[in-house]
Amino acid sequence: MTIFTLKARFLAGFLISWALLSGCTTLAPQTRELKEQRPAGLPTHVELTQVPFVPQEDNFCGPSALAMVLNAEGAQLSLDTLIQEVYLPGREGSLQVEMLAAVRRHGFVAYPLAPKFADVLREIAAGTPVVTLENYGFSWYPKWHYSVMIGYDLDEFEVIRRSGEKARRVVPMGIFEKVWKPGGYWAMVAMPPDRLPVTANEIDYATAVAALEQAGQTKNAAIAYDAMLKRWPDSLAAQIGRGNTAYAAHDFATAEAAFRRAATDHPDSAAAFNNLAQVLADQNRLDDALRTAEHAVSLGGPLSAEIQATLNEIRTKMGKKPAN
Amino acid sequence: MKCIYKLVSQLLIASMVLVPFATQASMIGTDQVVANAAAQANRDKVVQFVSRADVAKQLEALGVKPGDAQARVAAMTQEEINTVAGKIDTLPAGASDNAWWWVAGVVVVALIIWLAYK
Repeated sequence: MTIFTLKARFLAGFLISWALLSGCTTLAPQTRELKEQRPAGLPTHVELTQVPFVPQEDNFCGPSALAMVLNAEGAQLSLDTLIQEVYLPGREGSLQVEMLAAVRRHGFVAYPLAPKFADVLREIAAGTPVVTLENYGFSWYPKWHYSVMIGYDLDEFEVIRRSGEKARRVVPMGIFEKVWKPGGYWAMVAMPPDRLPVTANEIDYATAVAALEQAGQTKNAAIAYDAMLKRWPDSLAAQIGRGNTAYAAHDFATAEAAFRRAATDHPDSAAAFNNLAQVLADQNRLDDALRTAEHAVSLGGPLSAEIQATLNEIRTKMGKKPAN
Repeated sequence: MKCIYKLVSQLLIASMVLVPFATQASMIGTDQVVANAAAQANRDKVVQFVSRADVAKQLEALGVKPGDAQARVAAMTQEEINTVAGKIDTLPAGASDNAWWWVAGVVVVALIIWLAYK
């Protein structure tokens, strides 16, 4: 046997086993699309060198990815803090949901991107590093991993990432797509409340900000709703959210203005009239509150029970005051 | 003294867990406006609470300290709670990009194939 056939056999064996192990799913449809048609308006080469590198220890890729993207925006979080917030010892890893939740705990808006390669590149081009979830195993034996994408090159079709113990790992887009695809092309950004992701859509972003509000970050949520209203001035969710966050801070004047704006722009929204009625009642403008609540009830809809409760409350309040 | 710390921490936990549910009686929450209104209207607050506490317990079972677990679930949305409840063992948990086992596997299989054809 010559050395040549030996090498050829080894190569064949290697290729066959590689194909078997990887389940032959080497296709990278999104990369192919990017190669066929370069997305308009994207710079050829971007690298966010200002994103700090936090090397991963043990299985703490989730905490270290979060430390990188949050500290890039001025947070000063230690790896230990984030380990305490997202690491799950029993799973020796971190869940996606907890990654999102931890971002909120530090006052940032956690926004999962649409599962599109072009959207990820657009966010990077706009200066936002992106956390991605990859699978380095197989569908039947997954090895999940988070990393931070900080750049790309559309001439070479490469992405630049901070991953594990490597501060700068350059990977061909096709290969990256292959490991990124199994997790449903999952990608997230952590936005400072005054900035919006360039690829955000109104409803999904409102959901993300409402989650921040619900996590108790009222002040930051208010800033984020204001940012939303700059891009989508007639967003019902942002208008109501702005009102609700002001109401929570007992800023009734701002709350009233926001609900009035919502009621004017969305005359069908029972929620807008309900909340306006409530804030009027809280300011003891009961006649106005009663009229508004009655109108809210007349609009009906799935929130009727809550709205009826508002009306009843106002009526009770008035009944106790014979002067009215 | 320890006793006081314990009491304070338990109060804090309780307040963190309860805050998201203690919405104003008559205000309609932003999340309700955002999400599918019909589905939201059918929400059962009691079931929600149990489910959130359940997820906290599941986190504790996987090694998270009780206080940390409560704070962690408090930052999740109801939709996220529903996503993880009962599935914590199977959802992707990002850990490491260490691929030595992969390379080792390929080498072993390649060796077997090579030996078989020898």
